[in-house]
Amino acid sequence: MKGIFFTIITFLIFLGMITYITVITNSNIQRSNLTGERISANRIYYTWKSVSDNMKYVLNVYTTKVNDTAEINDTIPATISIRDFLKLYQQFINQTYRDPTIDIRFEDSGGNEVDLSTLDPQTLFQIKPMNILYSYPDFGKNEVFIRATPNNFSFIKKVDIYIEMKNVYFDCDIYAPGDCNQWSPDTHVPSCTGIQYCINLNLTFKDANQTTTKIFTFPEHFFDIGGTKKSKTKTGSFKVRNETAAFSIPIQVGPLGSSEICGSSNCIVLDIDLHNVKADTFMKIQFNTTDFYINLASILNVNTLFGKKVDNI
Amino acid sequence: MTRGFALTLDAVMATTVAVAIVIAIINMLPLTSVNYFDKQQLASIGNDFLAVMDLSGKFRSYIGQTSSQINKSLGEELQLLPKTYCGNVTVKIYTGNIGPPITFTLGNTYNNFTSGCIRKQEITKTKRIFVNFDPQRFGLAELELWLK
Repeated sequence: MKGIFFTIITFLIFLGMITYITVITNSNIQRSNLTGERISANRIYYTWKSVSDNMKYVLNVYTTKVNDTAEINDTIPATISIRDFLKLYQQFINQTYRDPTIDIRFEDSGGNEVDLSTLDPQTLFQIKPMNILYSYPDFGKNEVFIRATPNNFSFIKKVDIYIEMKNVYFDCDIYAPGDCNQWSPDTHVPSCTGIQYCINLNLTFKDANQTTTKIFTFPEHFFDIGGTKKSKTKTGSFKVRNETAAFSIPIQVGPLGSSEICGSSNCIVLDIDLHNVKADTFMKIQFNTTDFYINLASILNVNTLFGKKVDNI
Repeated sequence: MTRGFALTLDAVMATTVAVAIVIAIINMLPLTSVNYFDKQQLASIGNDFLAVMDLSGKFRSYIGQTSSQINKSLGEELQLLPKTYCGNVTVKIYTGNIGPPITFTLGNTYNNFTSGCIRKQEITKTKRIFVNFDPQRFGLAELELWLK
């Protein structure tokens, strides 16, 4: 009888100990898994941010969102081949950052891996959800566009552009009325009140003169660009000169209208042609909302066994 | 009867002692090695450290400087870590060649570590890349962190 009693006691002690060990082991495993997942999530996030943050250095374009304003700082033209730089960047990531435990892929909207150097400069920066574009005809970055659809144009409240030229000087008298700003055709209006497609634009140039600071701001600020209407400088109107010759900077504002006017892509809101000009451009696009974000036209997918982050850059 | 009782008691005691030892070992394991949450904290601090260095432009500012200047600067940055943390930071700067084939040439490697620290086995490693537009350079920063 006593033997049975001791056996039962022994069994109960064993059971208690096994239960205790199981609880402790499970707790340790859970803690380990939780920490592992957190470390992995942390790694995914920082890897994604690192690759994403450095894209601006590859493109040499720095974008920021400040409340209701998108700020874009750019350097014109590209002094190196951006496509080659993109290709090298992707390869560098593959060689030094990607490993069997973490995958880093650039993708299109369909989730297919893409070659980063195939990024389209004509849709490079997208301000979403309005789908307003800051772009170039090519990666030479000699010409800058702001494009929008007529429907989304109304989100734009104001555009401020400051262009600091590095290699050319004003070839017109910035103090004489109408000498630099000879718009032709001229669609500027006294105010935008009551006009459907009207842009509020402040356009300022600074020339390369280091001894005497010369700054010219176009006195026209409001342009009616609906339908086929567009303002464009006539040849030689905004005149600059380099060391050897005089030339002009064409600036086009509008037009905004149907697809017959705009073609297959978004309509031109602004086009500044800076061929033969080296410049830093500072652009502020103010919207009537703070609910927007600035994306590059590429998706970055960083994933490990524990999770992934897939988002527009 | 007495013999049976003694044997059972022996068995119970032996098992109890054995299980107690096993439990003690299981409990001691996280204490003898680095704690899970310490590991997480090390990874977070390591990533933050490299992110701040990158986003503040520190890594890019190293391009064109001498090794002694950079190593000194890295040492100063490591001093900003919490006092109980030890770090070993390495920065490698490459030049890229579009080829084909695409190749990267390691230009310089810079390194420094927290003074007065003995390297331990439980180390958390983090890394971050950085890019410079002009001159065109690619960089890899690696940080090893451990507790004093």
